[in-house]
This record gives sequence, C-alpha cells and structure tokens, in this order.
Amino acid sequence: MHDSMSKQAAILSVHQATKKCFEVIGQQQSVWDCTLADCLPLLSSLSSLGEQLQSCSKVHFKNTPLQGFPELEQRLRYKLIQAVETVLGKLGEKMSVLQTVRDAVSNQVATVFQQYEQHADTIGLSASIERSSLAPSVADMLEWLQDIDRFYRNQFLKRKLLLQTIKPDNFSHMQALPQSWNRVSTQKGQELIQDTLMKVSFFMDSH
Amino acid sequence: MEARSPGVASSARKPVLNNSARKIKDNAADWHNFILKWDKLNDAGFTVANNIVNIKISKETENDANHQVDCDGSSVIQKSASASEPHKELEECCTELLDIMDKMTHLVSKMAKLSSTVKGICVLESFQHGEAGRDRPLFHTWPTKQFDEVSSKLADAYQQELRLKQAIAQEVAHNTEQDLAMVYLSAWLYQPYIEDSSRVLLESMLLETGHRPL
Repeated sequence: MHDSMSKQAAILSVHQATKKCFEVIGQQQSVWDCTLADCLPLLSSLSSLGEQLQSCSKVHFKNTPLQGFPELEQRLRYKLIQAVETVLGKLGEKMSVLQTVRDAVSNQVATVFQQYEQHADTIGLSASIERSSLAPSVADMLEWLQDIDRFYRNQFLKRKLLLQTIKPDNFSHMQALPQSWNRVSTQKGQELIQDTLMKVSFFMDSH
Repeated sequence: MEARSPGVASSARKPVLNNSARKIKDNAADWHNFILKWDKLNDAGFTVANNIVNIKISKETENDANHQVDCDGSSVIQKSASASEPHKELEECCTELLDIMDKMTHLVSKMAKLSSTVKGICVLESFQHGEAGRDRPLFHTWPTKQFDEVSSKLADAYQQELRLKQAIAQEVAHNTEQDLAMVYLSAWLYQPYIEDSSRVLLESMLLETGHRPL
C-alpha cells in the first residue's frame, strides 16, 4: 500500500509539472504568434529596400538628369543602408522576444523531465504508458513536450540564420525575405502546438 | 541690458532676453517649425510621386498590350478610350506635385531668411563688441557665431535638397525606366542631402536656446 501511495504521489507530481508546462506553452504560443506577425511589415520594408538598393546600383547616374548632383549615388546608398540597419535593429528586438519564448518553453520542459527522472522508478514503466479517459499517458505527454521544445528551437534557429544572411548587396535575397520567412513555418509545425493543447485539454481541466 | 549669466538654472527664473537673444530664440523655434512643415510636405510629395510612377508603369504595360492588340487588328478604339483616364489622373498628380514644390520652395526661402537674420545679428555683435564678440554667451555656452554656422549649414542642406526635388519633380512624369523611377522615389523619400547631423544641429540649437529642457 505504501508503494502504491508513493506511486500515486509520484504520478501526481509529474502531472502537476506537466500541467504547468502546458499552461506556459499556451501563454507563450500567443506571444510567439504575435511576434511573428509583427515581423511581417519589417520584412516587407527590407524587401522594398532591397529593390531600391538594386535600382540604385543598376542606374548609371551620369547618364541621367541627376548627373549634376554631387555624390548623389553614395549619399542615397548610405541612407538606404542606414534604413536597412534600422529595420534590422527592430527585427533583432523581435528575435529577442522569440528567444525568450524558446527559453521559457525549454526551461519548463526541462523541469518536467527532471521531475519524471526523479520519480521514474517509483512510477514504473507500465504506469508511464497507461492512458485514461482524462489523461494521456505520461510517456505520450513527455514526447509531445519534447516535440514542442524541438519545434521552437528549430524555428528560432532557422529564422535567426535567415536574418544573419542578409547583406545589403544581396538584393535578390533581401527582396525574397517575406516569402523565405513564411516558408520557415511549416504546415505540420503550425498544427503541432494547437493539436497538442487540444489533446491535453481534458487533462488540463481535471484537478 | 545683458542677458542672464550662464550657469543659472533655466527653471529658476524667466530670463529677460536682450534683443539679439530673443531674435535668435525665435529663430530656433522657426527652424523647428519649418523643418516639421518640410517633413510633412516631403511625405505628401512622396505619395504623389509614387502615384505618378505607378500610373506610368501601368500605362507602359497597357501600351505593350496595345501593340499586341494592334497586331490582331481588333479593339483599337476601346483601348484609346481607356487610355485617356490615366492621362487625366497623371495631369492631376503632376499639378499636385508642382503645388507641393511651390510650398517647399517658399519654405526654403524662409529658411534662407532665417540664416541671413542670424548673420545680421553676428555683424551687429562684431560692431558692438569687436571681432571677438561678446564676452558672455547669449544663452549657455554657444558663441553667437555658432548660431550662424548652424543656420547656414541647415539652409544650405535644405537648398540642395530642394534642387534635387525640383529635378525629380520635373523628370518623374516623363520617365519610363523602372530602375530610374525607383531611384527618383528613393531620393525623394530618403533626402540624401539632409544628413543626421542636421537633426543633431537643430536639437542642440533648441537645447541651447532653452526650447528643450536641459
């Protein structure tokens, strides 16, 4: 009896950690989505600036009505690159927010795994894989949490790499940014978090 | 009557400015207001110039389509009817742009006047106090000559920028090259001759003359 009581207690403690984790994920998901949406107009600006920098480099100023204006090409390029840097700065701020989401989720997931590791022997294998009408199995939930953690890490890294490859003389890359950014979101990824939260909704509501 | 001594907190009492100081303080406020007006006109002008470029581009693509239709020998009359509408719109935009240019030209001449007013104050000061100027600054630390330098720099920058905009306004409705059109628009919007240092100069002048709290 002592054994089954501590097994219950152990499961309960893992469940509590898991619930807390899914709560955090629910909150963080909306921060993530909002921040991604905030990035879109910034990427459009970069795309437009890419177009402008390209035109600036293609035009032979000496053969245009603007030929009399001193240092015009350099001054214009300077202003455009300055504008790019301003937008990149703002994107950097958004990336910081995404990073805090990734870290918050990672930390919570790590806590859950820690809890489980502490109690794994007490809980035992068969209880870990047991599912009920109210709760998915601990094993399933741990797997989903791992998937979500991986999703955020992956997404953050891909987006960070995309932004790091921006160079003011790589015009086509800059112009394609909004599309490249959107391609990082996969259909599967989009649904992962929603679906998982749905799967645990009964579990979350139960005490 | 001399102006208040430097080092006294500007919040402590309302200083009684002498004539020159009052003129320069008003001058600084005028600079601020004129530049605000300029920025608004710049935005409005960009919108119009952008429209002009878009109309030209759509006319170009329509002309290409026209040629194709001509080869077929069909619907030529239809095309010319629809061609007159963008022409009217283009005329309206050009008129609007010219109007904005007039306002900007007027603004720049007022800026030139500000610059010459300050020069006059410097000349007066040389006359009254000799080449070295007055011994105490009019406000905090700036010798009167510095106001002249700032005003001149600002007036020159906006004069040059105006010349650029005049050239763009003249050409944008006639140009059909896409890259050049983009350059016209970029050059209008980003104002290559108004450097960051201009903004800093204006702000420091507003600080010095007490328009901004220290």
